[in-house]
Amino acid sequence: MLSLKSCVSKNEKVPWRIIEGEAILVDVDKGEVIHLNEAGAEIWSSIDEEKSVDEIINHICDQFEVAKETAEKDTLEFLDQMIEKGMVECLKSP
Amino acid sequence: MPQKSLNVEIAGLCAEIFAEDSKVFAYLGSRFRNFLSESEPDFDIDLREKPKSLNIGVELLNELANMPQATTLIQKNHRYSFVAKTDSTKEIGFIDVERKRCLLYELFKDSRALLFTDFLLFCLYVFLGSSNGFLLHACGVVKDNEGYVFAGPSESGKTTVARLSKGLTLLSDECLCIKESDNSYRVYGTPWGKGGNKFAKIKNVFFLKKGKAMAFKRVKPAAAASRILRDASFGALGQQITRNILNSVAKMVDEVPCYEMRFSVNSPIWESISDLY
Repeated sequence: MLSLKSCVSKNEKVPWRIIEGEAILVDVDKGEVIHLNEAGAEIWSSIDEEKSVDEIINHICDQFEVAKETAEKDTLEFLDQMIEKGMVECLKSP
Repeated sequence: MPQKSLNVEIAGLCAEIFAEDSKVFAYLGSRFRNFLSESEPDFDIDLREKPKSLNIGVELLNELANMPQATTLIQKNHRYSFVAKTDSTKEIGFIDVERKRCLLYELFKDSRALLFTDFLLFCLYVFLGSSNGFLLHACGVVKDNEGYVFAGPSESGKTTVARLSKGLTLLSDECLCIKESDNSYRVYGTPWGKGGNKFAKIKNVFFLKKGKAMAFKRVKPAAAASRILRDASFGALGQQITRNILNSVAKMVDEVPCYEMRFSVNSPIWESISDLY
């Protein structure tokens, strides 16, 4: 279960590109293309093994005019979906 | 038996094809007559009759011969196995990217090679992908020396666009090659679908959508890349080639204006495209 203290990383096998602030990710095995809007692309770009989910949320609050509560809910939901799709891996959950 | 060879060149990529049977050879010469070449080959394909040791049952044989897209590739390092989707245990061909060698155990019917065109398509996916080019399910038309790409899945209207483009040069109404050249992107015709062996610098990409009234809507680069990749069939090509294709598509949508084009079977598409500028 993902929590604010969890650390997540991008699946290194996923080819991706940022194009004008939006992101395109490719699931090579399934032949699927995922298109992320600016907010999704910002979360995706800020995913880093060294950062906790809470730090990613703080980064999103810095980048967009959004309440911490909303950013927390949206980021957790987004990361859960990406974990389910195999695009993101949860490294440690305290 | 001595082997003969002929060279087929598509989008500047030349394959030397070896075959033993002279009837098969004649079939290939006819099937790819607009794409025969005398260029230095970039890779070779050895076309052989299925050996008796490769035991493929009648059911699978019929499936391979009659069902479109019944085959796929399985990658292992620099080598791809060409197999039936329903039975990946029997390799009916391979593509060795490093050695630039390909082999196909072909199934012949009345000296017609049943799997070869599919196999050649896969070879192009792999070798074009290695050189930052890609194949796209799309219709391509040349007007005033400029290339127009009309992309979309089956039934989106590619054949209709080809029909509405009489008098212009049709590259293909089914499958195009796209490659970067001299800091611009070129679209090439292929032997798949109706069309010819020509190319042009790409002026626009249009994503087809059937509708009542003719209308254009500019598509932002990321959305355009996503739509192109969905029609670029990179499945089974592996990470590195997919990365190359993604990079190539991303660069292309940055340079080439892309639009969604709503049209009907009687739309004056070329007059409307001219009005865009």
